[in-house]
Amino acid sequence: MSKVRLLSMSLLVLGATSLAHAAAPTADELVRRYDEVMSPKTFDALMEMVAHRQDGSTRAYKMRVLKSGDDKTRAWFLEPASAKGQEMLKVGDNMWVYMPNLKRALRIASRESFQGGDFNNGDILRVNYVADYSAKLVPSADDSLYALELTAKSSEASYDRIKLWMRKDKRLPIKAEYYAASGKLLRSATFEGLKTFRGLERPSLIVMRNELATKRFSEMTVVDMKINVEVPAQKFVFDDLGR
Amino acid sequence: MRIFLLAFRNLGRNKRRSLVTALTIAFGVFAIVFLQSFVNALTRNIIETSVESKVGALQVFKAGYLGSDDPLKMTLIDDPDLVAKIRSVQGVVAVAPRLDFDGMLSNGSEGTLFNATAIDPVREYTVCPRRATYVANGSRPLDKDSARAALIGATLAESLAAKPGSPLVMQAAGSHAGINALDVTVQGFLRTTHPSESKRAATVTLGFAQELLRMKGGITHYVIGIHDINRLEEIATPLRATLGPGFQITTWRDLDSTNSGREKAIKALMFIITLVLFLLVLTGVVNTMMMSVYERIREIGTMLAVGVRRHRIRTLFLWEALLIGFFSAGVGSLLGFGVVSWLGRRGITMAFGPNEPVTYVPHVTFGFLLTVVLFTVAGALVAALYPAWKGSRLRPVEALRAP
Repeated sequence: MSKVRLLSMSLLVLGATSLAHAAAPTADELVRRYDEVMSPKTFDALMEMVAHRQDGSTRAYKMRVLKSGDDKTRAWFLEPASAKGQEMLKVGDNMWVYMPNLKRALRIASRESFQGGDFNNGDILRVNYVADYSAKLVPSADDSLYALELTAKSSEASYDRIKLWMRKDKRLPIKAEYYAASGKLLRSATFEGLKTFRGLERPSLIVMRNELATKRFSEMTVVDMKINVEVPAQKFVFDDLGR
Repeated sequence: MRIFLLAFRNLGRNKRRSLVTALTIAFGVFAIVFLQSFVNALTRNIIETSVESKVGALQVFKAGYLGSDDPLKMTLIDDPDLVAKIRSVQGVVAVAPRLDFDGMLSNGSEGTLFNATAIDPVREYTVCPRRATYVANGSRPLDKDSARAALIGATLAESLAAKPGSPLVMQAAGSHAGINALDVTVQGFLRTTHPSESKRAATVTLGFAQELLRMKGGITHYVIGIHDINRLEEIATPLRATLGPGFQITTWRDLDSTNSGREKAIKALMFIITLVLFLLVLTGVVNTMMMSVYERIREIGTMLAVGVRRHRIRTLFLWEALLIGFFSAGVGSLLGFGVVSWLGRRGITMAFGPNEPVTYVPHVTFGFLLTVVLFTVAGALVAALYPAWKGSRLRPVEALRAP
């Protein structure tokens, strides 16, 4: 076989395998993609969380969220006036909320509700599905979607099991269901409003429904996001809270 | 003996004054006994609602639980060896495990926060027997058949439109697990004494809570029943020594500071009032004794002239005071006891607003009656000291000349 032929054949094989690879992702790859899109390694974002309470009233929170690596996240609350000055910090497995009126940071847990809404602190500050869940592909009722089943593998995982559906075309999440250890459906989420933030295309809106109290739901909107930013390490030091 | 009879006769010689003095003393003693019976009724009620229904006399926590930001990280394991150790302390009568946690209770469309206490439906009542009655009228307390049932506050039930038999979902998370949710049936309502309790309180069985929080065998603390509630510190000290530094022991006063403060305030207030009453009675005694001496100057003069020693005069007056003090106090306290017993049998039932009516049982101990009589006698003697001394200091010549 001539050198040219060998080269072209190997290129073809490489091409074919990469195509095949692109055609059938593994569960782990999809989960990794989820993390890349929904919680990029480093980002500086402006987000808005609207909690719809059961009496019909709403509470809207605007915050700036900074993330550096898998284990450091910082948030500053900008609105409303009642929450302004509050901050949150996650370093490793520790999470704190800083209360400006107390001038003190209180320890909080991932599993606690985020500002009384239907997201919990972990949903906002600690999205690391790769570390927290083991994934497997399951048959999907909808041909245009991949269906994944995630099972908690760390004690920090907020949910015992997650069913996640991702669009085949763009490999972006579209729907999720969150289950308790007892098997009860706790929450369900839809991922909407595709937007491109400086080259990153992702859902800008997550609607989280409380399946145990169906009159309640919350919405998280990403207003703006910058990825691959330079974030000073100082921002993730406990003593920086309140400064 | 002669002095005794003499004193007795002298009291009879001025019936009006003796009667007035006697009535003053008797009334004062009666009032003190009556007051004390109410103090006892109030403190007994506090003990009943706090210690015997809810918190137990003493509690054992893991060191660091109280004041922790995440108390569910500081839990104990229900361990029979630990229970045996606690029971080995003198005065401990019963031990029961508890698991306190919070979460959200929902009826499918709406949810509210709750604070729950999980109890062992068998062991709990050995420590808090009144928990069996700490339920609203018509509700059944939790028992071993209540595995998937809850008792909730009336306001909490109302906010979820729940009635006995309603199915609800309880959602909570242990510290080493994600959020979990279990179905629970409303078995009945709790009898609450505070509106915030009515809005948030829930009671479930220990097994249910451990399953919900995924804490096998986990508990937050033990509650302890003791044989005498007045011996708290005497039992707490050896208990601390037995268990060592890994545990924190508290008393009901530490956990229920509202009621503890109330009890202290009632006792302090009543003590002051009793003191005032006592002093008033004694002032009366001093007054009548002074008058008695004044009116009998001639008689004293005669006695001195005849050769009666001065100290005998003093003793005579003191005996008079002692006798009248003793008999009046006796009558007053017995009368008080009678009235208190009658009231105690009926009980005094009062209803405060929306909460269930409370029954107070006034009572006094025989020991208290004895103490009052003794103090009255001693007080009368002290009150009579000056007049008696004054009387014995008279000069016979002047005394005989007195009008």
